[in-house]
Amino acid sequence: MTIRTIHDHGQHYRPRMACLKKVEALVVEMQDPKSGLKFEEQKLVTTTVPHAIAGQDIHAWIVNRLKLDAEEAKAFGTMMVAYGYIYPLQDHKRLILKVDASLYRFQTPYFWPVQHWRAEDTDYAIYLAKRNIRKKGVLELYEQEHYNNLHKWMNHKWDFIVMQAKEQYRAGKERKKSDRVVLDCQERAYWVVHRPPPRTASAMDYGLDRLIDPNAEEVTGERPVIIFNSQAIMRPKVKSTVSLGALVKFSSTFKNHDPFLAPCLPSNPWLTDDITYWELNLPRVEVPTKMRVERWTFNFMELLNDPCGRADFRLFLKKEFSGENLAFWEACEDLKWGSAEAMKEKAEHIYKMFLAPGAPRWVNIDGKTMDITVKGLVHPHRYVLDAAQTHIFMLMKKDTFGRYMKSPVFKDAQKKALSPQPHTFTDAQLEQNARNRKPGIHPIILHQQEEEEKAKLAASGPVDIKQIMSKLDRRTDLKK
Amino acid sequence: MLEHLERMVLLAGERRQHECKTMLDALNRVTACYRHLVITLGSTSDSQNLREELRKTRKKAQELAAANRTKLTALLKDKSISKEDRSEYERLWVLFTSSMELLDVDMKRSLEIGQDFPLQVPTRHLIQTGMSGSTTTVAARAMSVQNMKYEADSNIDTADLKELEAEIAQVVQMMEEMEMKVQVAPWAVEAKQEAGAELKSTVSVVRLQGDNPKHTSCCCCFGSFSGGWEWWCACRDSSVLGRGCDRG
Repeated sequence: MTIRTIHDHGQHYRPRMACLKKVEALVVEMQDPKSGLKFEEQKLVTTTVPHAIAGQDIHAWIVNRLKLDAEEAKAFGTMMVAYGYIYPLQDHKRLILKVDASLYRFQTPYFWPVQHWRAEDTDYAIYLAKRNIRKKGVLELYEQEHYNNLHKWMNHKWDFIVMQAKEQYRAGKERKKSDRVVLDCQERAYWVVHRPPPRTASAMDYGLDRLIDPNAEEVTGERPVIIFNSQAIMRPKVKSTVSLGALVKFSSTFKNHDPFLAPCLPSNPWLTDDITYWELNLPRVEVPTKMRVERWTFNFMELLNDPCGRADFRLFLKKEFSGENLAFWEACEDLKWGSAEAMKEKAEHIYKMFLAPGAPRWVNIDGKTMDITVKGLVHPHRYVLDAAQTHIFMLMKKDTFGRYMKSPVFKDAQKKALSPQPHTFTDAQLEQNARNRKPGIHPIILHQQEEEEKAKLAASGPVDIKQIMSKLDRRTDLKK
Repeated sequence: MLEHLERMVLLAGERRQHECKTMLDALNRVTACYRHLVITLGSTSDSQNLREELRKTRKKAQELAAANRTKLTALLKDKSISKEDRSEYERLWVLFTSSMELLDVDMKRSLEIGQDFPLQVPTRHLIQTGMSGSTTTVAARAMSVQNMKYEADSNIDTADLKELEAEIAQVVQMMEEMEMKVQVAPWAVEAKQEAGAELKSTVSVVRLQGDNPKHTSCCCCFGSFSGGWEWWCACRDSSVLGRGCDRG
């Protein structure tokens, strides 16, 4: 049972898929006895099944009918196979059109892709259960995983799924042998399209669901148009040259670092099931990778957001005895993101430590900002230190960041950074990786590690500027 | 004396459960057969006969659905039943609504496909899917009869579609009513079957009156049965009589 009345104003509708109707019209044309395709028979061990077509025949028909050249016709045919209107009889997992004598068959209209009908998980579960019966418990690895997942989260329907699967299996037995074979092939082909095997993609992937039903009637009239336009006028607008320029700059800087666009070293765990990449890029790792260190040079925010980068920067600041800026910034972040109960104490602590005249770790803020901050601290809230934090951030970015890039600390980090070798896995090794998949480090454990780090930092004690000044004084005294 | 009365009440409760389950199994079977029939729509196995089979199966499904609904709602409204009984009825309710959802989807699909592939036009463009046999046996299984009788006129495909639209509207309305009125939390239901339960015995449980049961291999059932409604199975949970074998 699924809850049907969901009025949560969320995105529930699939987008328009106008190509589907057009492909269907062509498929129906292919059936024409005079101008359509010629059919062969597929000979199996015990039966013959009619209505099989050779790939080259489909290709020739497309070339003829649509007046395309060979390559485009092949792409078009592959599209038809990928959507599931035609399915291959040999090599059923690769949905491409092979322009040779390999056989294909048409899919029944029930299993055609339709824009407003999703391929439901209930149906998939019933299919897997039926397959389980047929294969006597030996499912493929990815199918077995899906089965276990579905059993876990569709547990309340599981009785129904088992009952339906058994009944459908028995009803299927009532048909003649060749029809049973065809039915099997059809269902299998449908689910290859809608639940693609690993390392393949489905042609029916469409991104996000939409808010508005594209099949619904459009609302006409003047009132909605007036409201729309008046809201559009009130929106703040950015010039497209500016926004596009920012996008281009971002893309060109980061394009080699995006695992979608460039191969990541050693290998992408989602493709090869090998988690070395994640282990090398844990938030706090001894030796960061070269790519990661390169990202630190892009902008200051990248450096601060990376825990390793921040630690390196902190080391540099410690050597320069100007760690209070970073400490202040971190304290402000803590205030912004922390719990509401501790806010008042935190704000007071920060004032005493960093902002009060003669404070142990006094930060240099200009007079106007200091005025605003002190006034705000009378009634502290989450963002009361925002102006001061921004000031310090810009200070660090303009001044300290440049010095850090030229410092021996950073050069040392660059030298030590490692660049892993890319993996080359054979298919057998990939299968083995898939079988040996383990769950990664639990996020709770990662969070605990972070907390320990923070506690260690706090415990190591902030460098008291008075101590430093007194130490310097003592040294100068000694020299004298 | 009191014990005797208690036993009578208990037995009456068990019988009600058993009747519910039998009817649900019948609905389940009709749903499965209907799906098989809808899959062949639009293909070369399509024919007037198929449309008639679809209509008859649908009518049967409607009757069973109505009967199931009245029975289950009456049982769920009854405040005097025990907690285990109530959870059992909730489980049956989830089974019922899931069947109805499948039926609803299949009916809507059959309307669409039926409209796209009319049979009365001079040049039929049915998809050559490789299916060539007829679906008579499947429909017969759904109707629980030995042979199907075809008695409809030749314009059944168009006439039927109009009825179908009306019936779909009815079913949709019924389901919305059910969701509003019956307070059953589907996530609270726990399945009795574990993963891989379908691999165990494949005996068919339900026989409505009429035909002889085909007894395929069953690991745990013994004893002969005389056709008709009840048959007993001494399986694991044999404390509750009448429970079907393939629920073990």
